[in-house]
Amino acid sequence: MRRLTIGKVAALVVLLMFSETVAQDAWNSSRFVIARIKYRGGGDWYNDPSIIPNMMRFMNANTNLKCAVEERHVELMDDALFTYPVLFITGHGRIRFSDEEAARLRLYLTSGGFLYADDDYGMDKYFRAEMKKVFPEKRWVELPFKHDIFHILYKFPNGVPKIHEHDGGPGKAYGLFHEGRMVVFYTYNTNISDGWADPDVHHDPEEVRQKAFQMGANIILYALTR
Amino acid sequence: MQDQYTELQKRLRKFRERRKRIEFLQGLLLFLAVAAAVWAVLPAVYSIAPRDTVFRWLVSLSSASLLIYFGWRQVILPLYRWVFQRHVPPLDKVALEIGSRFPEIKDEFSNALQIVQEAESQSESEKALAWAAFWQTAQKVAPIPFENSLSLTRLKQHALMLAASAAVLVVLLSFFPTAYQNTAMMWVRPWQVPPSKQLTLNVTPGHVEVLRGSSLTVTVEVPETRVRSIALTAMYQNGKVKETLPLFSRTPNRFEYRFENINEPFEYRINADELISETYRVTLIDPPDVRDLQLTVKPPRYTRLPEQKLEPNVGNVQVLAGSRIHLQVQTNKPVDFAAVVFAQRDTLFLEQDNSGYIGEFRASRDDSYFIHLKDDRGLTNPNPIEYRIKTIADQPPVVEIVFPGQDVDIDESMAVMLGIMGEDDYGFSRLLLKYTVHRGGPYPMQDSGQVKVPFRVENGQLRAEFDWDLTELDLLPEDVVEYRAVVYDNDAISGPKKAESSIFRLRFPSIQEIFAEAAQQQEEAEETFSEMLEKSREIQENLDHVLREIRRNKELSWEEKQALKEELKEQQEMLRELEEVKQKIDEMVDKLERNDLLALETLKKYQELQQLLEEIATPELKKMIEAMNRALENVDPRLVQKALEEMQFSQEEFLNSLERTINMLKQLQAEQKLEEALKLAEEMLRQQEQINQSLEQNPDSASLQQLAHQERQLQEELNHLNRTLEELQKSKQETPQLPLPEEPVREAQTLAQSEQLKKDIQRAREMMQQGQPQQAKNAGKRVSGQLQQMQQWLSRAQQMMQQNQRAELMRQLRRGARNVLQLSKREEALSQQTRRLNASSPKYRNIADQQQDLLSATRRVTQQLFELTRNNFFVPHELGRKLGESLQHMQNAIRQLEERRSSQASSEQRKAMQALNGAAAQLRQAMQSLNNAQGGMGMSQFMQQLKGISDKQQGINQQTQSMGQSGQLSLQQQAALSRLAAQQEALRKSLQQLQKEFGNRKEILGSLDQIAEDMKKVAEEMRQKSISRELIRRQQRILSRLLDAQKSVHQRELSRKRKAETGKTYIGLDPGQLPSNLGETEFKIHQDLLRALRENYARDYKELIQKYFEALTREKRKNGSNF
Repeated sequence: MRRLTIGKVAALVVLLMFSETVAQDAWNSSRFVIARIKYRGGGDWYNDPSIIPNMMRFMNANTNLKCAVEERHVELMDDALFTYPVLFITGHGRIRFSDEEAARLRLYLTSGGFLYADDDYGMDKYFRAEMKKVFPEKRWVELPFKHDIFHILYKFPNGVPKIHEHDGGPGKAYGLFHEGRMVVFYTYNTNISDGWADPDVHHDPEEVRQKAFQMGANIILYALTR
Repeated sequence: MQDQYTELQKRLRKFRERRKRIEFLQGLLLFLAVAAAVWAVLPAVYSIAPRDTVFRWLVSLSSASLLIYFGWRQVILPLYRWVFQRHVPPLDKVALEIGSRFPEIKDEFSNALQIVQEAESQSESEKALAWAAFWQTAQKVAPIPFENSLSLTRLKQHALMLAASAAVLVVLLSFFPTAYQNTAMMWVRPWQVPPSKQLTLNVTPGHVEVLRGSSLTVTVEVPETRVRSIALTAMYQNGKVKETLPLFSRTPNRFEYRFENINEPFEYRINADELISETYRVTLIDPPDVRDLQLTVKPPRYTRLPEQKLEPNVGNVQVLAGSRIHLQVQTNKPVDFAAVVFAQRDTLFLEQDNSGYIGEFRASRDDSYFIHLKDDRGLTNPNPIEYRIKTIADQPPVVEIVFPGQDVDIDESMAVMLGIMGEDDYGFSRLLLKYTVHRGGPYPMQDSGQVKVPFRVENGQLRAEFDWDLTELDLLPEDVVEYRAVVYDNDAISGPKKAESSIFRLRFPSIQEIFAEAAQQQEEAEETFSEMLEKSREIQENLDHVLREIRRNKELSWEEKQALKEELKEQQEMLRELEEVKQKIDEMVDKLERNDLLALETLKKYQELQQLLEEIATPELKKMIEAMNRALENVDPRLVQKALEEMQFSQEEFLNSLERTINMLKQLQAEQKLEEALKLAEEMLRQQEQINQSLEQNPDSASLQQLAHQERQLQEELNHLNRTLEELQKSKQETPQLPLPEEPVREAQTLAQSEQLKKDIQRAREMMQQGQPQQAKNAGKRVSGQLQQMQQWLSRAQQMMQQNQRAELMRQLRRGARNVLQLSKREEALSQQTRRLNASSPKYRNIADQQQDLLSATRRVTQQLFELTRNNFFVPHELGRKLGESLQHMQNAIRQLEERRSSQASSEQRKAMQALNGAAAQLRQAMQSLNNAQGGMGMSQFMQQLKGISDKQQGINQQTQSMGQSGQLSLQQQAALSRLAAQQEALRKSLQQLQKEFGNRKEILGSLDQIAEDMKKVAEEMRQKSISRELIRRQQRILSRLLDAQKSVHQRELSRKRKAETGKTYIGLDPGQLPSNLGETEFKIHQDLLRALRENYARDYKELIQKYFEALTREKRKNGSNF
């Protein structure tokens, strides 16, 4: 048997590493992933980095959907925007879409994309104003409890579950529709995505977290199947 | 004798000649008679089947044969014999014929002649004898005039026959010349239809000239009533193109064909059975006509739309009203004049130029027109096309205030951000914000005004983000501003059309109003809590009583059980009330926050209060009540006793919490009263200074009255301030633990109650009412001075109270540091002991116990400091990590001690000690920060420092930009830029220091890292003494991010209290069902219409689109759809 030289071994190792990377990329690219919108305006678009990976874990464990346990960030003018079937936006403060960004988001949403927005307290008025830029002609519609998004996998007979207290009272779920299809799902005064965070972040009881994950699963499945 | 012979011969020849002549004449006459007879009957024979060619051939041939036969027999042969057979028959034969005519001669004469002729070759005797015979015969013949024996009877008969047949022929010919003409033609050319038949087709109009495009009716009259087939053959292009057209029968012998819209010359003839008419020519005369029409639409200039050249020969136009329409007409030939004739306006005469005839008109309303042409022969263009002009009105614009899009209260910033969107088909001329201020007070007034709002237009949409500064409106509390956006389009033809948005209201709530509402809610809450406390005590006593009874009797009666159930029900009711109160307090705090009426300290205390309220109704207490209820259903008294005992414990906690809540509420009320007083004093001072400024500007009488009204309101506010200060003093008495400084509050109260202040306010108002601004101004200044003093006293009171609170915080930090250091020392001592242990030492257990004690003590301290950390930004979060490390190392040390590993245990203990020392260092840093803080606490200081950095950055930006605008940098400017670079660098360090002091709290500081990086790049570029566009942009980005960070931090601070609070269970109201339009609006329909009309659709489509939208809107309205 011929002896392997150091150079050959190194080349083999590099090749294996490359193969591993390619395989990993291929594996990830074939899996569903949510992209978080990196917006401008000063608001904390980045908050709670654990939420999306946790949600993806839940999806892998409880549904047939294969999800990449990671979070992607995307700016609205990025080329990759249209590669994500579902976008997610959250924050506490100001959001600012330039006119170009608003137009691009409109194009994304009217071309089959889906946006899930979750008010982390304080985002509401900015988000609504910016979405008015995106769809000046549309109005938010409060979703009835019998809407499919509350029943597609897990049953929420009383509408969107209450995760965080915020302003008190029941949480609200709104939709923006385009040609009969809901393109934006917006949860307000509940903060579903906070319920996806690691347990030691908000110290939510496990049953509350589970509700948040289940609602999250409904949102993702709805977005992918409608 | 010879002579006689010759004579006779001569006479015989004469006879023969005459006979031949008669025969010829007879034959000729007979032939002619037969010919005449044949020709007399031939038409009749032909008429049997004149169009039968075979028949014609038959007749022609047989008649010709007959005539030839007769001609040969009766004419040619006799003539031949007469001319060419002069010696035939021989004379003897002639003599014999004569002998046959005369019986006395018989054949003697012929014989005599023959004998003589034969005797010539015979002997003389025989000759003599022959001669003698002849002589004898000659004697007999000579007297007979046989020459005249030829009969003419037959000749005469033939002549008569000829005469008769000729007469008949002449008669017939005179009567039927055409028939004989046709007969002759048929006889000569039997293969042809007799030409004379063409004359029987009577075709009108024959050769003719017609107008191009006109119609022509060809009529054919056929004498024969029976025509088997008849058709018209039209020949175009010199006979190259032929077309057979059927004729239509009007009557049995009259046929017609109508040529429509004749556009080229042609020839035609009629074929009726075998008959063919003459070929006629139809020649065209061209009337004047439009050969090409070219319209160019020139939209009104304001639309900025390009000219639109329509397709050639498109005359129907749909244009925006006011558009000019240019016509270019080309005609088929020169005309005397060309004009456009309108239905509703004067005729437009076109001018001739090289390209034809041109003209232009403005389309201002719907109309129709046609082109009228006239040539030199007076001919006009036939059937001119009538074209339509459809004018489209410029659509009115739409506008909507999309943000805030609802009625809102104005906060102290006196600014409101408006988002306005509009849409129009051709653009906008201006955007106004119209408002009406409804001023409250005893003399309600209205001020109206408008503000011009800058806007931009993108893709036909108007967009405006307008930061409306309401300061100029001098709003007073309780004033309401109604506003709406009004947009005008740029229609320069019919005048700009406007649209108005919905009306929204801004309300400026008064401080008193907000505070009064808050105070009322607090009082209600306190009252509720006091009642709860009283009731809880009763419940507590009852529980004690029941417990004692159970212990004594071991059994509960039914009545006791029922009483206990009632108590539990009341307890549950109390918990529900507690929830309601908590919710009201939440709302109250929220409102105070929004109006910036709470100092950060007060806000934190409210958060504590809310936390406390959350803790009163603990899940344990609720579980106890449920357990008690279940126990009461049970017959086992021991279970009831146990539940009661546990319930009693929870009830005590509940009581304690209620008492703490009431105390805290009272303390908060007192603090809030002080804040209210301070805010009122500040507000009054601001108002008075505003009044003073107005007085400086020599106001007119009406303004003075308004100012007097404001001064009167100031008097009312002073009264309110007095009441507030009285309540503050009262609160101080009720809550002695409140660190309220007495002196400044007392001084402020003295000023507020002073008669001088009241008099000055009164005088200022009276002077204003009397129209004496100077005196009013003097009094107003005195009022300002006193209010300023009062505000300063109150501000000092608040500062002192905050200082007292800071001192308390410092005390807690010191205590924490002391505790941590003590723990560190004890850990160090323990570590030394551990290190000295050998493997068999019996002290392991003892040291492990000590380590356990130290662990517990560290946990307690950690818990205390955790609470401190949670509510205070001065305490770095690094402290928590250090304490966590120390706990971990202590646990490790215990495990090592249990396994009797002294060196490892000692190492862990040293690490625990180091972590504790680190925690102590963090606490010292926190105390240092607290000492350095000049005002406010934690987050306020952070915000102030961030604001300071922003201000400095703004200054650097402005200076840099001013240099950049001046072009090439001078040496002096380069030096200044170096200084600015140094300032920028210093600012970067300040920012980094800020980050360091407040710890690595990414969730708070956001993208400050990036800001620092940008600052570094800016400073580097400045040092290179160049100002690029990128540098300016980067500087603006830095400033923008700093401002954003401030806003974001502020926003986050406000939201901190609730963001992570786990939600309760609420049952919301189901919206029912989705609206049928899924959020689409009529505004949307109009928008879509405008967009559609902007597209380059054909005019017909545009018209259809407009009708469709109108119908859609009507339908939606009819159906009552909610848009």
